[in-house]
Amino acid sequence: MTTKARASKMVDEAMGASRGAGAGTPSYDESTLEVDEGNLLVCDPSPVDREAFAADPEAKCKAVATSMAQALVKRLFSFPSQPAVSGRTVELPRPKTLLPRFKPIPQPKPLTRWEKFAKEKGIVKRKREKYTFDEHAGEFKRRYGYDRVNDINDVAIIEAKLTDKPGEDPFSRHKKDKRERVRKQEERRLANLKNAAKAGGKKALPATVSLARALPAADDYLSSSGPQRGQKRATKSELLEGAIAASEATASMGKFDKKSKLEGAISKKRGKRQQFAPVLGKGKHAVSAQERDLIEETVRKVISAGSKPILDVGKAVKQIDPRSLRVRKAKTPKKKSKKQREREAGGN
Amino acid sequence: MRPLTEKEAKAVFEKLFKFVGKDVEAFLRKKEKESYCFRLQKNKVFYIREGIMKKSTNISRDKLVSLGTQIGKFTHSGKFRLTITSLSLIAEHAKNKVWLKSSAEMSYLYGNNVLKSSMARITEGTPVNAGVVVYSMSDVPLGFGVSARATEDCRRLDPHSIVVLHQADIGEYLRNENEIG
Repeated sequence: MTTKARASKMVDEAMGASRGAGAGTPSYDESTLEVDEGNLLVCDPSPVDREAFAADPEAKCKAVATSMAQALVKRLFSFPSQPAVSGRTVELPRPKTLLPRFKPIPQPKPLTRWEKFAKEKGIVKRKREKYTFDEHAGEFKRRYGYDRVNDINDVAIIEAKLTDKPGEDPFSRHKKDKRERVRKQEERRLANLKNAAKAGGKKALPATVSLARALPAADDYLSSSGPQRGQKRATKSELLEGAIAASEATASMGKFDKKSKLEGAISKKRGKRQQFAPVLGKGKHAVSAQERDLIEETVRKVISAGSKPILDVGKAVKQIDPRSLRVRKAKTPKKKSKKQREREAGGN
Repeated sequence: MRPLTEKEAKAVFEKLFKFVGKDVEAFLRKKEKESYCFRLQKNKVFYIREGIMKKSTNISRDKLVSLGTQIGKFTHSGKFRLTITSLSLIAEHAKNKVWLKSSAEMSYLYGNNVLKSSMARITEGTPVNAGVVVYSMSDVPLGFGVSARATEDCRRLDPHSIVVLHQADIGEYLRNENEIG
């Protein structure tokens, strides 16, 4: 790999440094220097002048650094340069010094089942063009994915085949098949991950596979997308039990700890067990006394509850003769006879 | 096969009470010197002679299909429904009755409600929402249902309005032959 360094900037800095450090310092013997232009690195393997360093270490260091930088810049200017927007650029040669790697070398990825098989058989993956010509649409389309060639969504009619089952919708069959393929691939992916984990431990798994899950089952941690088909999802009570177990996982196994608040969350109530009267009575009796009592009591209750309205309003209304309800007219006082009037007057 | 629990017995007798009234007691009494009992088998309630019940205990629960007279069945939600097989028992003690005109019999036997126009007679004093047994003019019980109108209201009704809502009819013996146990 070649590195491009901005030479003009380097030169400016080097010149500035040399001016500051004093122009009078003797120029360095460049033949002893080891220059790695690729890394912009200069080393001086010659022995250090002890006396000069003891007198003024700072000044000596600066002087040495300046001359070394100058030597490097000199080399850079000897390379063929090209004009650029800001000054000139130089193409650096390959670095000579090998630097140690920061991260460990990645492990070779464990082969998937198919990759293993392909290797054995010598099947080589062949590159295919991303776009192919779609005869139906008359244009180039993607081989896979959205708006693909021969997309079932774009086909209005599917020709019947001899192998078709009568009464089956070919569109829904395509959909079903696709779903099945996706499911199978997911199964294969998980199986490959499982095998990789078995062979190389957790390190062999890609970093994206989630390992942190509440209460993982034996090999549950492999499924990043929740429980798979046929796999039980942890119930609330299971999670609670797990949480309680975790809260008690101290040195004394919870002996001296306060009781977890979670414990109250699990209801210890159990479903009520139904009790049935015996099917047969004792001895000669076919029906048990318990059942007989219960039935009789229930019938009595039902009858008393059902016949609450003792007064049947409809019937009662009919009993009344409408004629008897006629409102009587108030009696107007009769005209008093002469005799009566006289008697009253006489009495007064 | 097992006896009814208290809750179940209550549901059964409340339903019977709607049709029979106080005569529900008759179901507990001996009939021709034979005593009867109620038994539950696979959500179905049976009215059965005690002697036969005793003998039927020899048959395992999953093999036992039917015994005695089926009265009704419990729905999945625990409600009790009378089935057509209970008709003979209910008709014996029926409180509220409706007689159909002979022209309307067939319509009823196909599962339709009873309209005012198809009704010949009705028991006096039938309230709304009461259990009603439907008879033909020759006093043959045809089925049962629930009254949609009280007797008093029936007089003023127009001929197309419903008087009895259909629940079961003997046409089911043909229509639902497989389901009737």
